[in-house]
Amino acid sequence: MPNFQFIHAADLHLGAPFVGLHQNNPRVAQIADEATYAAFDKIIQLAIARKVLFVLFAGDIYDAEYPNLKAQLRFRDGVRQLDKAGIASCVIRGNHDHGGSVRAKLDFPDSYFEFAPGANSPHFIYQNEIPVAVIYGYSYPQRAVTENILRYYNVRSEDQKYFRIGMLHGNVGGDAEHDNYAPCSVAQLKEVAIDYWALGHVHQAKVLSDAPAIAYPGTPQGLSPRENGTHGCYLVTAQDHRCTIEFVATDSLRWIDVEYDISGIESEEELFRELGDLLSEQYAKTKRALIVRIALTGRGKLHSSLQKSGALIDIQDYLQQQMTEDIFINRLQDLTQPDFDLKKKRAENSILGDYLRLSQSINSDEELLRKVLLALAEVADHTDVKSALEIHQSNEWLLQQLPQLIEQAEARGADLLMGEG
Amino acid sequence: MKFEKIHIAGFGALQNLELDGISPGLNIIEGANEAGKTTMLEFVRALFFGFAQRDKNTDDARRYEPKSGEHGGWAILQNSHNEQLRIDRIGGKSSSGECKVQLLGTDRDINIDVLLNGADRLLYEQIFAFSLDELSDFSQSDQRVQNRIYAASSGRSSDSLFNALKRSEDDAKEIYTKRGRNQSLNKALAAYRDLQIQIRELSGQVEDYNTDHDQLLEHQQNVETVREKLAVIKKQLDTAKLHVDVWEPWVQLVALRNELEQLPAQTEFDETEASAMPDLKVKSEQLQSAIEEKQPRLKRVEEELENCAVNTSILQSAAQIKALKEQLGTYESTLRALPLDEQKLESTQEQVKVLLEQLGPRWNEERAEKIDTSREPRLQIQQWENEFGNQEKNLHDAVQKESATAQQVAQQELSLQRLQDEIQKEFPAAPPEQEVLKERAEALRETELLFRKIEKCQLRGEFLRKEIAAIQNQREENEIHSFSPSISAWAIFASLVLALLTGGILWHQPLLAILVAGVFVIITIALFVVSRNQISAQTQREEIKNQRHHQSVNTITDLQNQLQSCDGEADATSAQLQSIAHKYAWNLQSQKDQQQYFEELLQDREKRLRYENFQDDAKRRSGDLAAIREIQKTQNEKRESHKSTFAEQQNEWNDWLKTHHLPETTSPRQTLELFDFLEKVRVLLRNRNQQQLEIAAKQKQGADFEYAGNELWRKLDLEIPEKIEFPNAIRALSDDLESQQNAAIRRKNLLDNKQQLQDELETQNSRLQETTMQIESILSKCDCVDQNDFDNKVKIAKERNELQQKCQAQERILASHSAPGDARVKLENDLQQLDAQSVKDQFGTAQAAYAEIDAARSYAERLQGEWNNKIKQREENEDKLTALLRQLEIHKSTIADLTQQWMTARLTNVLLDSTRERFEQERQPAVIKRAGELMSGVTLGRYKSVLASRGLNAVELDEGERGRKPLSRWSRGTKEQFYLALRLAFIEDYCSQAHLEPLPVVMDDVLVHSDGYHRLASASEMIAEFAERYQVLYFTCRPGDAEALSQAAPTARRFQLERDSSIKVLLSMKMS
Repeated sequence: MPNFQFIHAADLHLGAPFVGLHQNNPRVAQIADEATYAAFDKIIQLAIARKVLFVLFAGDIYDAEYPNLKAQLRFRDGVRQLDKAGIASCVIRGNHDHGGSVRAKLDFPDSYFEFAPGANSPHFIYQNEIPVAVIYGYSYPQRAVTENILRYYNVRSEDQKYFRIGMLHGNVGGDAEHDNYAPCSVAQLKEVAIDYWALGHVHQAKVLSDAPAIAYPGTPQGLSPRENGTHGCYLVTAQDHRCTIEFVATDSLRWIDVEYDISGIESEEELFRELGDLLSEQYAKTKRALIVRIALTGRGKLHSSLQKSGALIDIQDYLQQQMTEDIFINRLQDLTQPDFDLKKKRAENSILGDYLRLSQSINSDEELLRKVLLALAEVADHTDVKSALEIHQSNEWLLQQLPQLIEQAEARGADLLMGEG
Repeated sequence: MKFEKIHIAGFGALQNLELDGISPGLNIIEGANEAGKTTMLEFVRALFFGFAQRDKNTDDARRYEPKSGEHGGWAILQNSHNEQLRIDRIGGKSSSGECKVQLLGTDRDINIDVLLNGADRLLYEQIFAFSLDELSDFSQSDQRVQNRIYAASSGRSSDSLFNALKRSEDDAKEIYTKRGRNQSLNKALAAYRDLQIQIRELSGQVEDYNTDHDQLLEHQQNVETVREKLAVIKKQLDTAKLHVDVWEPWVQLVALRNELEQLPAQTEFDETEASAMPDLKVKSEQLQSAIEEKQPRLKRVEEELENCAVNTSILQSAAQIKALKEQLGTYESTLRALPLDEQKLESTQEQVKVLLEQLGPRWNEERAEKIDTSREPRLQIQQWENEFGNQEKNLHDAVQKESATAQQVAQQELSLQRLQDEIQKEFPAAPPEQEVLKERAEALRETELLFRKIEKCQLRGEFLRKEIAAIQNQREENEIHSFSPSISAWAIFASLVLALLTGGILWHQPLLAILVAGVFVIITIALFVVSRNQISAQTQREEIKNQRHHQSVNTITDLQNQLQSCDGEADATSAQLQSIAHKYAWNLQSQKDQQQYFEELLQDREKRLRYENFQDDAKRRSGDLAAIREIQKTQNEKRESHKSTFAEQQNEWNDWLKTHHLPETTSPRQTLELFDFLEKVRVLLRNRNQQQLEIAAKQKQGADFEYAGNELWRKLDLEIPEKIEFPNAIRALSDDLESQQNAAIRRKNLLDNKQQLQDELETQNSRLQETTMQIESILSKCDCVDQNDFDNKVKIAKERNELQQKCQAQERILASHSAPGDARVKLENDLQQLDAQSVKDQFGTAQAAYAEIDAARSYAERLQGEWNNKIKQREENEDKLTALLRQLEIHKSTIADLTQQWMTARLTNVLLDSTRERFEQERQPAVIKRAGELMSGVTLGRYKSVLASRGLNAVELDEGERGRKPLSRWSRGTKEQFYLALRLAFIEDYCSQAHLEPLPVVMDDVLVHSDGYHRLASASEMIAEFAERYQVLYFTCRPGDAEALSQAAPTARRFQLERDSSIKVLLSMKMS
């Protein structure tokens, strides 16, 4: 069997908005709006440059049930580019762009193949008019596919001579971070006579098995603070029934989280310098635009000055001015603690001691807990807040939030009682 | 801590006031208004917490600085460990004054802050030391009351909890309120709703896009069909339009072609040759008129030439005449200047003569010229002059110095003589030598030592004698004290007597007698033991005494020996002293005499020193004189040397003058002046020679000029004029020459003109002949009989050409509307078959059909454009949708942040509020309850208790069956009593915290508003009861209050503060 190369990408989510952005900065907007398309373009350019035989898109090409037109047009244009370069493309539909989603009537080239929802015949890939690979796939007919779909991957005995690929969009191994669609396990996948499992659905790249290869390439562009770090696709080289996998980064805008301990920092000037150096170092390392979330932690002299109204915004603005235009400080969060030991204060026979002891008793004091939940429900029960924060059960949500809230309220209350707030 | 004593050194009006014997319980300090009660209260505050801060903006009266004397004072206190402390507070550099706390009985100083243990001025003023005003102030604001209660009970003197509550509430309200619009979360939620609406409007347009796309395709099809139809019609229209456009030219072309056919044929007429004819005719006519114009001009020139004659001989001599004319001016000026020059020469000659005469008879021009007065000899002379000057100066300086030295010598001699006279006068005989004086001084010092030794021996002797006498006295005393009889013997004897007496008395009671006898026996034995001890002690004392006696005898002997040797030493020293006195003939009876001789010695020593100083001075001056005389000698020699050098130089100078042919015995300066004079003579001589040369030259120039003139006249063969007429004759000749030259130029011009005219006439005649021949040749070639025949034939040919050109123009129009070849043939065929009307009709029909189809096309295209725009709009909306979705996410993040912030603030607020509630429930009621108990006592049970279940904002008095009375309805007196009770309760609460030292409580007339005797008595009892545990200083101006307090606390101390700052201790009731 001749060797060949192909690209495995998934979860393009073309045209998806960035979640967790905090500023309406025009430059961020420009990069963010274009970022998913830019990542897709990089995949196309990579395919052409490396002269691969075909490209696989393992579901969730589009983000919504009603994928926007621009996304469809851009995808069609990309596929045409591949076709012109003699590269085939093969697609399955995932939970975000399932068979029931509405599509624009667009003309795709003959080299483009999309598995229809439900059971399918395999699709052959030809090299110099000789079949070299056979692809099995399953497209979601609707958003929620909760059954194990491996029964649709019946590898025929006559296909044993080809390199066999299974395209599957689902949750392998029960990743709690993602919806549990098309659930199955690595062991179950290994039972099917497939040489390369091209998976989609999980947004972080990971190789679950080397032989047979089972891999999630992740989303080519991180779309939220949770999707921080490097994102890209796999360039796979197949020989006989084995393959080697190379990860290629395609993101143009990278999310990073920076946690900075303020202990030992004497002045704002020093903080600016330290953070500036840290971010410049990150930028030099990643060589691409960064969306940075900074969390200030620890105890230190700066805590009290951070409590002043507007102090965080001023620091963020100043820091942003010092940065190159490709570093965006998305958020500066103050998680610092007062410059004294709360544990000791808690033991004191003082109002502050009473306050800190009381805050620790919320969970054990039913009446106090009821009072707290009632007070907080004023906002948590607000229709728009529920919609924006995707709160289903406000009480449950509040109980989840409570530990962090108590910690922050303790710090704030201590500041106020010590006259530093 | 409790006061024992307060001393005010100076504080406001109070000075040197001392409050002693302060009770650890209640102390009542009475005083009329202005007696200084409040000042004392302030002093107590200042003692602990310092004087009020200096402040430029406020009245410094708060500092209570006295007009004079020390500011401050001190107090002695006892702490809870029964230790005594002294606190000093004295005005100093620090605004609050210098404070010292000493633990009495030790050297230990204590820091005041440590002593006060966390209590600050505010707490003390609020709780421990307060006046009526402050009590009233306490009731002004319920909020402040609450804060102070919290402050007192929490051990923190700040109102941080209330501030914190307010701040956390504000924090939450800034972010969100239920019906708010401007709060950040409210705004973010409103924006979020708007965005959702916008997004809904733009979403789901993919289906619409597909419908639009189908519509667009249909419209595109329509446009294509209409465009095809239009193309067909367009072709027809173009043909019809072509026929219309070319119809007119076509009709004209046909007519022109007919006219051409009707013109006669002229086959032998050569039009090419004929075309040259008009030009030849014009040329011939032009030549003829030119010849006719030139002939009379030639004739006129010839006539002018005949009238124009020239004198050639003058013209040939033109150069000479011109040269003479040019030199004439010079010649005339020379003639005029010559007599003046000669006169000048004569004057110069005269000056030379005078100067030479001034030099002397031996001087003539030749000698004056001969002497070299150039720079070199001048420099030599100047050198000579300098050398002479130097020598003269040296000589003069030497003479001056010599005379100055001579004066110095005279002065020095005189001064030396005077000094010697002075020595002689003061010291007729030389004082003793230094060695002699030194020897005397040593002898005197030795005598002094000897005197001291004698004195020492005498004193020692005296001491020894006294010692001997003392020992002897002591020995005698010891011998007088004899043994004292022992009491023991007397005791035994007495006890035996007593026993016998008792035995006699008790003979009848044998048992008792035996018992008594036993007792006496015991006593006797005891007495015997005691007496035995006494005897042993007596023996010991005797032994010691004997030992001491022997010792004293030995000591006396020893001392007497010492005395003897001491006296001997004194005598020997005395003899030694007398021997020295004898040597120097001194009468040394006592140390006083020695002192006198010592003073004499000092005088002699001083004299000797003075004498030696004089001698040194004289010696130094003699030396100076000798040195000056030596200098004088050297100077004399130097002067002589300068003199001889000067003479030698003079000789050398004379030789030099001789060598340079200069008169001798003249000084270099005179020689230089002679040089200057000679220079002047030479300049004059040079001027004279120059003048002579110039006169000769001018004379020669005049002669040459006259000779040249004569030569010219001879050449022209003219009569030579007189010398005086010479210049005028030259001028006349020059004028004549000028007129002849003008005539010659004119003649030359005329000749040139004539030649030119002749040449031109010849050329034109030949060209005219040639043209005539060409015309004849053309006529023959064109087969023309004559010129008229030729003109006729030319006219016909021209007409033909015009018609042909018109035909070509119409053909070009046709060609411009159709392609050549078949198309053209077809067009002409078509046109031949048409007439004007059919052409017009055909065009009209085609035009109408085209307009109709074209309208259909533009309609279809418009529709296609509209759908295109629609689709484009949808694509643009996609970008808008992307931006809106991004913004929606941004708003979600903002809402998440703000919700988090609001929840933190709200939770903080809830927790702070709950803390406050708990505080009120768990701790606050104890204070309130205690205050209530105290209040109940004050109001004689009218008010059962104080209720403050919902904080101090809602304090109520429980009046039992009459219900509850809220704070707002309380009388001022009740309120003040409540606040007093509250304070006392606070103090108890505060001091119950183990680590805090209770401070003395100071009250200033706080019972003024206690209405009614019973209430006053009850309040007094409340204070009295309190004072059993805490020290209270109660200041009052109301004797009634003092009395009530005294009755309530019989052990209270009463003091009377007078207006003169004195203090009187009043007896307390119990004591009285």
